Amino acid sequence: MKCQVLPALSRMSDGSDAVVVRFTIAPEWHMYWSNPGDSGAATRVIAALPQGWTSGTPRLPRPQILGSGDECNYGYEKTFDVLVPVVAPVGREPPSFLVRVQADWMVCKDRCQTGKASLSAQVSGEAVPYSPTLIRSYPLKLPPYVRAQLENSRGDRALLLTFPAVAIPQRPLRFVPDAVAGLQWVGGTGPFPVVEHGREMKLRLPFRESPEDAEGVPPRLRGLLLAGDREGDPVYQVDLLPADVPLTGR
Amino acid sequence: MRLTTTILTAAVVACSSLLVAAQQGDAHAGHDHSKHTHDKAEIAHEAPAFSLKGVDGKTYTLADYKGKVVVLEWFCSSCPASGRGEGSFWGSGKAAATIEGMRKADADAVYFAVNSTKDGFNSMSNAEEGSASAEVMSKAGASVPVLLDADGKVGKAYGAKTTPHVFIIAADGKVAYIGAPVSKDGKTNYVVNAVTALKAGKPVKPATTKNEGCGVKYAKQ
Repeated sequence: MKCQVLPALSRMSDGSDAVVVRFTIAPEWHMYWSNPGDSGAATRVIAALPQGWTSGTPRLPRPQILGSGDECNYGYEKTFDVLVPVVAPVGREPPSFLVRVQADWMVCKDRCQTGKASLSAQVSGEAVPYSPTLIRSYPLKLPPYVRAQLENSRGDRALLLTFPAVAIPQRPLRFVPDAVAGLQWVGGTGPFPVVEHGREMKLRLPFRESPEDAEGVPPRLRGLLLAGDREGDPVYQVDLLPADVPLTGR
Repeated sequence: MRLTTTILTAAVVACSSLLVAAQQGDAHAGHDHSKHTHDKAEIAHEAPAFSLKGVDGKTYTLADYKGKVVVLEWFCSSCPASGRGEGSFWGSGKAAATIEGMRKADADAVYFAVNSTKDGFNSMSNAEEGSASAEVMSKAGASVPVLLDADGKVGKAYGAKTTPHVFIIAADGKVAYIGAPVSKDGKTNYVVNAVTALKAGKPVKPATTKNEGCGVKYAKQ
């Protein structure tokens, strides 16, 4: 297991920059996404930057669905990058800057090991383009043409996503739920049937709420919509507050 | 590519089983849940009965503890989240603090560690793993009975997925809490909170939390 900070800033296709924390995993072992699934533990990365720099929430790539027997996990094999979005101080583009990274993880095969790293790295401020192949595995915002609605039926609830059939042609569609206190997705990871309504497709993702388990934070409808199973197929971030999503009749 | 295909195929099977379980749960909507038989422990439902031998040679039967709060913690001595190393639940002192807090909240409450690790894992039998568990607990200064579940039937009946994974059974025999023993940041002790609430006759909040840890190494059935 190796955890390293890449020596230069990485420039994304939208012009933003990120510090890249790269994990290299030994053959046959795997690490975990922010929701590890039935077992395992989330990979966590915290970055500290010099004064004047700002950093965003670390971004993890599309996880694999790792299943064996009746256990379902979400994670990574071989190698993956955690992207920490950063913004340089206004009017300054220093040749290099010091990044401090704290990372902790669990890595498993037939047994598990936990690990942590405290890294200090001088990162070049001269950004290099990030791999156009790798960037495709990072979640995109849910496009504006995807309409979200909530369905209530006999006490069961579901998030209904409607989109133009041509907009997301990849199949199958799966949903990898994030771990959110007070909200459980009850459909597994799919694949989910997509119902055709003329030129539109509807995807129904059932869930249950238990507000008493939410620990004071309103539960969000959060997870990843995976379109297709092939490398480079798109992945969309779903992150909605139920109160903000309009209701629909069934 | 072949590996990816295999993983995805396996995942379809694995994750589809969750869907079936969820649909079965849905079918019960509107009925008296307490009278149904379930394939794993669920909040407000009767806790699955068990009778297991402990490392100490005694037999522990859930029915004998009716009227008391029972805490079950799935445990494995070689798991770095459960019993191995300073960062584990037991090695960090959190388990000892939990048990002490539980006893302060309710002197009659009982705490069992359950070991469902299959024979042969880590070159040990389930009984040897159980003895190693007892040793870890003794070193942590909070010995509790370690129950041996070599065939994993009790673990599967409860739906125990990780070590640690905690199930709390109220005095009326119904499941009151399922999840992690403590919060990720270590600031909230869910076990102590639950036992305190049950002692006061209040509802347990939260009744479920997300547990993390090593997967329970079940024997194939």
